[in-house]
Parts: sequence; C-alpha cells; structure tokens
Amino acid sequence: MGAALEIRGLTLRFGGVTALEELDLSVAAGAVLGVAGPNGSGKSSLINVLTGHYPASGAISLDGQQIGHLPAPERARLGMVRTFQSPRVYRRMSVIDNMRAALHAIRPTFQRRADRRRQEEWLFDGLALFGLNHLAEAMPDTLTHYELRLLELARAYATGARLVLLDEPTVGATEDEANRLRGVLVNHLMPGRTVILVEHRLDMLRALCTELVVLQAGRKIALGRPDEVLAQPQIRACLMGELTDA
Amino acid sequence: MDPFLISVLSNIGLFSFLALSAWILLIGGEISFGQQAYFAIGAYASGIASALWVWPFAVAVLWGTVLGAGVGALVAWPAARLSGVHYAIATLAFAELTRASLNVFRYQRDVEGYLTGPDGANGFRDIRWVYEAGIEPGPNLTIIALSLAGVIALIGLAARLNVMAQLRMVGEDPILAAMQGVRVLRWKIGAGAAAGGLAGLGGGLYAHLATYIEPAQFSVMTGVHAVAYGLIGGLGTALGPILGVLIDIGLLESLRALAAYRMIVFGGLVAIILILRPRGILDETLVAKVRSWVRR
Amino acid sequence: MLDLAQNTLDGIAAGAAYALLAIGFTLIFGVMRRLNIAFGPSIMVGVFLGAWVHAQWSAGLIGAAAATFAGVLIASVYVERLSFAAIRGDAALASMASSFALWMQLEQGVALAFPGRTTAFPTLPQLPDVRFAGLFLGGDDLLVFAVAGAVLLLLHRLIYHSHFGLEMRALADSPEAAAVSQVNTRRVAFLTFCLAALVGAVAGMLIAATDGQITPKFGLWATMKGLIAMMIGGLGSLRGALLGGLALGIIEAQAQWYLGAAAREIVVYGFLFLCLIALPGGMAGVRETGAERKL
Repeated sequence: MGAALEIRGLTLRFGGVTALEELDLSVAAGAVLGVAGPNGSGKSSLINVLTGHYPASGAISLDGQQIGHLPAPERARLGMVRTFQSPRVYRRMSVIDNMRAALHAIRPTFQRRADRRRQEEWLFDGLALFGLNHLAEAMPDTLTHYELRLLELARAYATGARLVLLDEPTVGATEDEANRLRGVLVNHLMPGRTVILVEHRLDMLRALCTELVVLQAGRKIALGRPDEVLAQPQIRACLMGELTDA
Repeated sequence: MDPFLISVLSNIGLFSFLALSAWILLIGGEISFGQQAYFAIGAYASGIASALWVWPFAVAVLWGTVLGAGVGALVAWPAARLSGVHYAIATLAFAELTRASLNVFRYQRDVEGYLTGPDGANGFRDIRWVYEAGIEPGPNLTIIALSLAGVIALIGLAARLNVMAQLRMVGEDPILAAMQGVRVLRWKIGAGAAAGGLAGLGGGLYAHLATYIEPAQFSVMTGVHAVAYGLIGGLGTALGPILGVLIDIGLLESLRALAAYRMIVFGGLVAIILILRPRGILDETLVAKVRSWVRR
Repeated sequence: MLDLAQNTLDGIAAGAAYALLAIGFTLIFGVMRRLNIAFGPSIMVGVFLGAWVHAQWSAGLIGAAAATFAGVLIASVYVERLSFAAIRGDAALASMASSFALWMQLEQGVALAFPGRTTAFPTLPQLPDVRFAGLFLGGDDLLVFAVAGAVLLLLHRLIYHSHFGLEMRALADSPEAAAVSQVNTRRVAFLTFCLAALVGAVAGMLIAATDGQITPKFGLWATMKGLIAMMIGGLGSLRGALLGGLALGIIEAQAQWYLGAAAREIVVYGFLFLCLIALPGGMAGVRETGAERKL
C-alpha cells in the first residue's frame, strides 16, 4: 500500500515572489491527489518542494515521519519518486541502464548473484510492462518523446516507491498517446501507490484522481472530489484557458 | 628489453595514473586542470619519506597516495558546489598554489653525510631508494605496470558494484541523480579523494623512477594534458585515458623522426578526433554497444 | 602609505592589459558558453608575426601592429573553425580540449619559427613621465591607459549601441531565444570571436611593446592572466572582467613589493582559489546561469 503524506504550512518564496503560501494538504495512503491551477500557481513548485529540490518552510511527513529537513537523496531513499515535465533521462546510458540507474542508490552495493539476477528480471519485466522491451539496448537519443515518457514511468514503477509524484505526464503527448498513457498509469503505476498528479487535462484528472486540489498563486482555493470541484463555476472560471476539456 | 622502450613504457604507465585521475573527475562531471598538484604532493611526500625519513619504498609510496587522497578530499569538499568553469579554474588555482608553494619549500637534512631534501625552486635531488635497493629499470617498470593493473582492477570492481554507474549518474545529471537517492555531495568528495589518491600514487612512483623532481615539472601544461588524454581516448571506459596516453607518448615519442613537429601532429590529431567523436574514441555509446554485443 | 599608493598605480597600469585579456575571454565565453584556452597562444602568434615583420623590414610600431592584428585574427579564425564551429551540440568539454590541442600546435609552430629565447618587439613612443605628490607614472603606462580606455569605450558603444551588439547580447542571454528571433547564431559567434581577437591583439601589443621583447611563454602567460582576471571579476560579465583585471594587477603589485616575487604567485593563486570558493559570482556578483552549469 502507498504512503500517507501530510503537509502543514508549506511556504516557498523566491526573492519577493511567493510560489507556495501556507499550504496544508493530507493525502491518504493509496489515494490519487490531482493538482490543478493556472500557470505559475505553484503546481510544479509543490513537487519540487516535496522532493527536496527546493528548500521550503513548513512541515512534511511521510507515514508519520518528518522529512521536511531531509535533503533530496534521503527522501528518495524513503520511497519517493518523481517524473519531470520534460522527460529527464541519462542521455549517455542505454534504456536498460537508465532502468538500472533508478535502483543503484536504493539497493545495497553488494548483492548476491541470485539477487542480482532477480533484479535484472524485474527491470526487463518492468520495461515489457510499459511496452519498451524492444528498446532495452537503445540510446535515449533514438527514442520519441512518448517513449521517453514511458521510460520515465517504467523507471518510477521499477523503484517500487510508495509515493509517486507525476509532473504533467501528458504534456507534449498527442490525444491518442495521452489516452494510452492514462491506461498505463491506471493499470501499472497507480495500483498500490500514493500518487500526486499535476495535470492540465480535465479528462485525466476526472478519470484518475480520488481527490483534486486547485491552486492559485500558491494558495489552495478548492479541495474535494474531482467532479464536485470542477462543477464549481468560479473554479471553472479560474481554470478556463488553462485546462483542456475533452 | 631495450632501455629506450623501458623508459617509454614507464612514462606511459606513470602518465596513465595522472590521466585516470583526471578521468575519474570527468566521469563525475567536473573538469580539473589541477591533478598535477596531487602528483606533486605524492612525489614530494613519498620522496621525503624514503630519502629523509628512510622509510621503505612501498610504505613511502602508500603515504604519498594517502596524502594525495586526503588533500583531494579537502579540496573537493568546498569545490563540490562549484560547477563547470568555476571548478576547473579553482582546481587550477589550487595546483598553481601548490607549485608556487613548493618553489619556496625547503626541508633539508643530513642523511649519511649527504645533505638531501626539497630545496625550493632548485628541486629535490637523490630520491635513490629504488636504485640503492638495486632495482633495475626493468623490474621498476614491472612495479609500475602491476600498480596500474591493480588500479584498473579496482575500477573494474567498482564498475561491477555499481559504484562507477552512480558516479556517471552524478556526472551526467546531478539533479536527477539526487532525486534517485544518490548522495551527490559525498560522491563528489569521494571522486576528489580517489582522483587525488591515484595521482599521488603515480607521483610517488614517478619520484622514485626519476630520482629528481622540481616544482616546474608540475605545471598547468601537465594537468591540461591529463584532461586531454581522457577526452581523446574516450570517457566510456577506464581504458580510454590510457589509450590517450598511448597515442601521445607511445605513438609520437616512438616516432623520433617527428620529434620537432610532435606537438603540431598531436594537436592536429586531437582536434580531428574531437570533431569526429566529441566524447573520445571509446565513448559511452561505443562501450554500451560492445557490452550489449558481448552479452548476446 | 606612499608605497601602497605607488603600487596601486603600477598595478592599475598592468591591470589595464589584464582587463583587455579578460574581456576577450568573456566575449567568447559569453556567446559560446565554452572556454577558449587557446586565446593567449593565438595572441602570441600575432605578436610574433608583428616582431618578424618589424625585424624583416624595420616596419616600426605601426607595421608591427598591423601584422599583429593579422596574425591574431588568422590564428583565432583557425581555432574558431576547428575547435568551436566544427564541434556542434552540447560539447563544451570537447571544444575546450580541442582548443588546448591547437594551443600545442600554435606554441610549437612559434617555437619552430622563432628558435631564440626572446624576440625584440618595437617599443612604444617615448612620452614624458608624470610625477605628482611623490608618485611616479611612466609615459608608457599613460599610453597603455589611453589605448585601453579607448578600446573599452569603442567596445561599449559596439555592444550597447549597435545592432550587432544587440544580437551578441541576445545570444549571450539565451541561444534558443536568439535563434528564434532570427539571429544567425553561427555568424554572430564567429564575429564575436574575431572581435575578441582584436581586443586580445591590442592587449598583446601593449604588453609586448611595453616590455620591448616577447618569449614563447607569452601564450601560457596571457591565457593564465586573462582567465584569472575573468574569474576574479565574475564569469560572463564585461564589467567583472574590467574589475578583475585591475584587481589582479593591484594584488600582484602589492604582493611583489611587500612579499617578493616568489610569494606573489602564492598570494595571487591563493586569492583566486578563495575567491572562487567564497564568491563564485566574482566581484561583479554574477549569478550562476543554467547554461553555465552544463559545461
């Protein structure tokens, strides 16, 4: 089962600009929290703060453990994984080496031969699950944007992390690709995990989220079941032009 | 064996340490123009240990290695948050600082009726342990070759244990690596220590082969060469920097007819290689291909 | 107190030339995001050509100057074509290593063509020395000030008040944005390289003419001084390059006077190391940009 996440009074400022302001959120284990909001409302900042990339004030706890003071690598080791708005992979490593890279730091340095073989199987199975097994030895330069996105998701899956932070996974995807990504997320990445999904497509949010939070200028302006939140006229007005309704 | 061949091979071996030292940092994503500093530290420290304190050769060289690693870690620690050009110039500054300090470093002592030890810019003469022990250039070459083989074996082991892979992750994308649980700062300091130790080891062996060292030998030129070796030979494998040394010293020094035009030939060769293969001859793509082909 | 002031004055005189070298480096780094460590040796090719023309036809300072400009330009274009234009993409490391390789070529080429340890270079016209309040300023130094100042003014006009300057600044700010706004990035990069070569040629000529002679070590020397001044001032900032050059000159002069020649090097490199660690933005306080992190 996924991890429970608690956020209290989270505040992030860059110079004079406030990216997040006194944000409180709680995400139950196994829940899928959608995050929506206009550009610059703090959606990506939220992910960057949770992973420890940006230092922010406030309290963050993962399954009751305080993690707000931990640097990024330590948080990742507790079972947190993220994807990036534009897919981020090691360009000079093959696809399968990118999969291995996701496990290097969180698995022991010394492994028995049998464990190592099991890990290799797990990684190749993971690639197959996301439809990338035929590209295992390919270099990332030869992959399409969509395939790179799948690689990011497969990598997140392979870590077995209990908390998955997805930063606009359908950006740059065609309609058809977005639908396939939705299927992959529902069937493989989301089960048994807690997910925070930053997304601009209403159909994705409606279909995938158990809860939806709407941010504006770093503040929470709505929280609830996706269909209820999206039914509110002022929320629709706020998101108009930002969200693409399908 | 032909004495000339022995001396060329010994030089190749010794410069391989320096090239590997710069290569480790390149893998970790940093260019250092200053690895010659640790080469100098290793050379002076082990020379002092064997010539002045009359320590055995092996212990003296080990002491130079440890000191190189220690200083490497000390420099890497504040430098780790620098990147790119800043790191390169900070290491260069440190190396020139070391060289300038050695120019005024005097520590001489009477050993068995001889006044010996570093004498500032006049250098450090008579590091004679190896010769007094009756070790000929041939066996000395064997010592250098075995040390180098040991280092390459260690790097191979590090590759099997995913140590090199994590260093490559840090080098290619430190932010992504941190998000995947890699403790980036520790890796950068560790790489600095390993690189410093390697150069220190090479320096210790060099001092005992040459018997005479002086600060001017450890100039910026030496350090920039070390970086260039890795970039020509390739960043995909530890054999890359050694291939770079082979091309420079091996190929060109053996062609004595080219002596006067050596730098012109070498420079042109390097420029062409880098246009065709910006990450060197044995780059990551080639190594990945070979590895997947071997596995098949 | 008088010593301190006199050293500062001497330092500024030397620093003016360092500043020009640093500005050359900064121009290239600004638009390329790559380090051209062959900059010093390219200048050396020029000053040696100038010295040769002078020796051959006793051409005097004007003839030597023209030959110097030509030599630096030719060497710089050679470096630009092979090490920068030919190596595309995200390969700052390869460009730098390649410029080092060409440095080796240029240096040996000069050593083969000029086997002597030193070569004579025409000296600057004699100007009267200036004395005031116990301080001394050589006529040579005055001329160096005047020329360096004129170059700076011209550069300022070019960069901030011309279309080419606008394109250059756009490219330095963001290569992507510049490309989208139809700036011919390759052309601007090439021309900037040439501009840096001209600035470097002036610096090289001033230094060679002040000393009256040149050695094959000039290339290494010029690259080191330019790099150090650029880093002290703040990477990527023209104002920083100017400040860094002057600061380097003053520090050298003071250390030389109070501590001696051997300690001067220790002080300079120690200062540079601490500066980089404690103040990576340099004296101009440059904030690190994303592009620079890539190298």
